[in-house]
Amino acid sequence: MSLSRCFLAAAILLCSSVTGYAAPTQLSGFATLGVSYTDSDELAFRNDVSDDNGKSKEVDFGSLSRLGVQLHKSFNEQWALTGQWALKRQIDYDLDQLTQLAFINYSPSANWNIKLGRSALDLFMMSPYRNTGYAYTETHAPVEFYGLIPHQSLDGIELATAHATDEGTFSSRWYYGQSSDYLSNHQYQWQLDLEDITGITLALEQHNWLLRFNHSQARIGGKEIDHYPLIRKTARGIASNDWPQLAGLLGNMNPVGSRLRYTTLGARYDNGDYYLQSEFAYIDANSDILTYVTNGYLNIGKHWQEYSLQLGYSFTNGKENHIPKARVPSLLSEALYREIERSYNYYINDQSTLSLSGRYDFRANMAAKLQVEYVDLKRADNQFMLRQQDMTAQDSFMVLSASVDWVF
Amino acid sequence: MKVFAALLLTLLGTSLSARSAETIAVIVNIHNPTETLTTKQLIDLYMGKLIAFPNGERASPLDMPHDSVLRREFYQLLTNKPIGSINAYWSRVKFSGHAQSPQSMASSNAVLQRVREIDNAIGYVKLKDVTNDVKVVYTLAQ
Repeated sequence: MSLSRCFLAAAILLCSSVTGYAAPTQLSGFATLGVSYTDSDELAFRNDVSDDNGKSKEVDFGSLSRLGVQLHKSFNEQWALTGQWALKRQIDYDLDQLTQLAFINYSPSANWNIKLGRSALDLFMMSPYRNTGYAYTETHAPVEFYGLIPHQSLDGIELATAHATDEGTFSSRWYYGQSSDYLSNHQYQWQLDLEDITGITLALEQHNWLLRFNHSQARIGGKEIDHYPLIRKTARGIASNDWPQLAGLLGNMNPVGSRLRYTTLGARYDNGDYYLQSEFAYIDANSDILTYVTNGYLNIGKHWQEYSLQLGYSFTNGKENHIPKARVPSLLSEALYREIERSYNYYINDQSTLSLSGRYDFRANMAAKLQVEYVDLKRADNQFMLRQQDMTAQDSFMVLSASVDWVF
Repeated sequence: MKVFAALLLTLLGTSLSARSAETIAVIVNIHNPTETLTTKQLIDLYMGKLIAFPNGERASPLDMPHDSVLRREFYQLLTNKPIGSINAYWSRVKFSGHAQSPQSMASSNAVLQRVREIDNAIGYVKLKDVTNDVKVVYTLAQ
């Protein structure tokens, strides 16, 4: 039984037993009607790598649109239940995939908070609220920073503290658990289980400033990618003398069991007129499946009461694994090389995006947004955008997107 | 001369009265030991960063309806940010599951009533609406 189902059972039980004196259940939610258009023949915009249905040179209503509801019930000052379910374009629509939050909250004092169940994965600054389009100026979080990690929730435990100091309000979060989501493209869908996730977030907030540091580690679990056995089988058709390194490459190609490490520094400043948000991340692994990758973005914006305008720049780059080719080339060895190279450099995508975003808050709880992006892929076979065919070249293209975002 | 002085006093009185009407008072229960709050403490409390009084006791902040003018003025004066930024901020906090936004009350009278009833409640009303059975711990003026 999944944690979310445990939570639902507990919620029903608690609600039925204590409704006599508990506060009423609060219902709230968020919705985005979004549309995107990618000006590329080979690639399609997608919010993250779990989306396997993006469209090139077609209007796509599915990449950004979503609907979420949240239920919160406080039983007293210490105990509360929170559940959140979000519907968006995704591979599975079962209860487990729809459930974003499902945790029991225990708060022994104003400074301490413990969550047990499914809570938001606090990996990067925008990770916990990426689904809530109303929460930010741009139509979507920067894909170079957020696109490769579709995981948004953590099944486990989170401990949070907050203390007022002379320098500001200092808070920390400590978490342990697991998370599951999909990597996909037009060829395959792979369930990427992140196990033994351990992480810490330290944040210092002043009136206009937020400084944030996070370090997290996770072990890749689950099954290997479906077509890997086929790759190994195909490799039997190549003599070891023709490609001496092939056996070693195949042996180290499976990411399952590798440990990923994420280190992030972030800052946000907002004085009511101007604002700035930036994050930089360094990601590596303890195996050959990833050397290292650096991601970052910088958004600078200005508010004019109901209007906001933002300029953004985001990038990702890393150290490529150089895969030795067969000494005796053939069509088979070339095809194999491409698959092996892709596996070893999945996370290495030299790409940058320059964006201009506008937002108009036309109601107290509704906003309309428009964004134009110029995407520059400096490395072929990019994984961020959805490939429409097996291999894509270096490219530059535009992505146009618009949305109406609502919270209730 | 007397007429001129009377006119001046009338104008001054009108001006002071108008200013008083626009001043917003942050109020707590009369039995709450808190006497004053700093701007930072009030921002922490109303932005969900640390929802507690200076003595560490948990607080229960009260808000006005989402589209009310008083709410817009309160957050603008407190944080110098437009209400759209505040609403976006709270949607980040709330839908992350980190904190619940302040409880929305239907009117100033409802805020006053709640503050009278609940020891750890804190709310805001126009200064001219404040009654003797609640305590003012902070004021915000244009």
